[in-house]
Amino acid sequence: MVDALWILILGMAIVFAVLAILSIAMTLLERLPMFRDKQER
Amino acid sequence: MDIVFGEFLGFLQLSWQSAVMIILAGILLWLAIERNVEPVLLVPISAGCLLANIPLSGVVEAGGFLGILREVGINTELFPLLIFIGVGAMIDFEPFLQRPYTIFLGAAAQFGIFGTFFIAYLLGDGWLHIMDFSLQDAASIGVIGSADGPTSIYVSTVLQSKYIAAIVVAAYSYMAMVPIIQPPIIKAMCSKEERATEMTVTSGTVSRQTKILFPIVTILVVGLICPKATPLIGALMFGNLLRECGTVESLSSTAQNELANIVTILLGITVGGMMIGAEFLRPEVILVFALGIIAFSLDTIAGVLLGKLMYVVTKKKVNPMIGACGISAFPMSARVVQKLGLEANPHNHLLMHAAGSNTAGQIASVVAGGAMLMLIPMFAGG
Repeated sequence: MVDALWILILGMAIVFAVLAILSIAMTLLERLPMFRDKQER
Repeated sequence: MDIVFGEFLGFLQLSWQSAVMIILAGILLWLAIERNVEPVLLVPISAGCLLANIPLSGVVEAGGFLGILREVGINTELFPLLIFIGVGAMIDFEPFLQRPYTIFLGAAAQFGIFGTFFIAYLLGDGWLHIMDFSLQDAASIGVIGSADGPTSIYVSTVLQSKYIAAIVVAAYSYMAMVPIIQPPIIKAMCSKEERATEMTVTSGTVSRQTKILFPIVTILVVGLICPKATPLIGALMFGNLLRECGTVESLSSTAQNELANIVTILLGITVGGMMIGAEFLRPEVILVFALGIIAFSLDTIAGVLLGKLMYVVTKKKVNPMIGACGISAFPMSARVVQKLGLEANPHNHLLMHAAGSNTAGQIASVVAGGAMLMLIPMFAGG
């Protein structure tokens, strides 16, 4: 039962961590000058 | 010469379980053809179910037609991955890329997977021992909450669950029932004022470079942190790359149409072929279906709860209902929220916001499936 609780906690933590990093990576990429230039044009 | 008719006359070998499954196949066919309920999936599944329950036909045995398809398509995990290439080519991630915060709604809604896993394991080997649910079975049952057929098939195959047929049928059935499952939960959790909350239309488009880089960055981020999710996210994002790169229109079109259709036929009839009466009609299978509804409900509750938190934090700028779309189930869930939004406020157009959360849920469900594949062997000692 304790194992299952750990899997629940770690599983949700992994999902949030991976998606947070992905979100940060995409936000940073959007801020690169090469992307902004293209969008402005 | 002694002739034993029971050895070659099928009806003499027909068990009550096979008879029930043949009737079930008939009901599914009726739903698909007469009521137009998910016909693309239900017609092949019910045909497979019908074939699998004809006694003495040998179609599901090793070397039989459906036996071979199961061996090469399901046991090797090939069919769900090929389907994902088609799905990736069909999805436009722009609504999500315009609203990166929706990724957290997708993440929250995966609580249905882990919460249902926890309940299933407690009912099985984890505590009560009422049902024959091992850690692997409980994890596979939980993944019904990914609201995503290919992920359910992939995870339950890799974990070698005994209930793979029931899990897959439950996952696909409940996806079709999202318009029935979600609205009562959303209405119970959100006041009319919350449901009527209008969201600003995001202006501007996402650059082509971002759209092309998105699948590549996603493969790298997800793959490097959660490598067990790489086959699923790799197939999904490869399909999306075909769509977005703009130089392989024919491949993108093939992935969206011919590939997706061919694999849907093969996957559907093979899954139907796994619905063999003697294996399918067990108390555990009924409980798998019940746990599937719990998974979808927990997904919706968790997504809406985070939506409500965003509603408070942003001072009523986020409609909490879009949290329910984190369930994946693309695009049914987004349509449900759009409809509920219009009911509460005729000027409330939430579709693009809901689609952002919905596509974020698609990625999140794959990551959750990968996390399950990573964690279960660690705790099972394998």
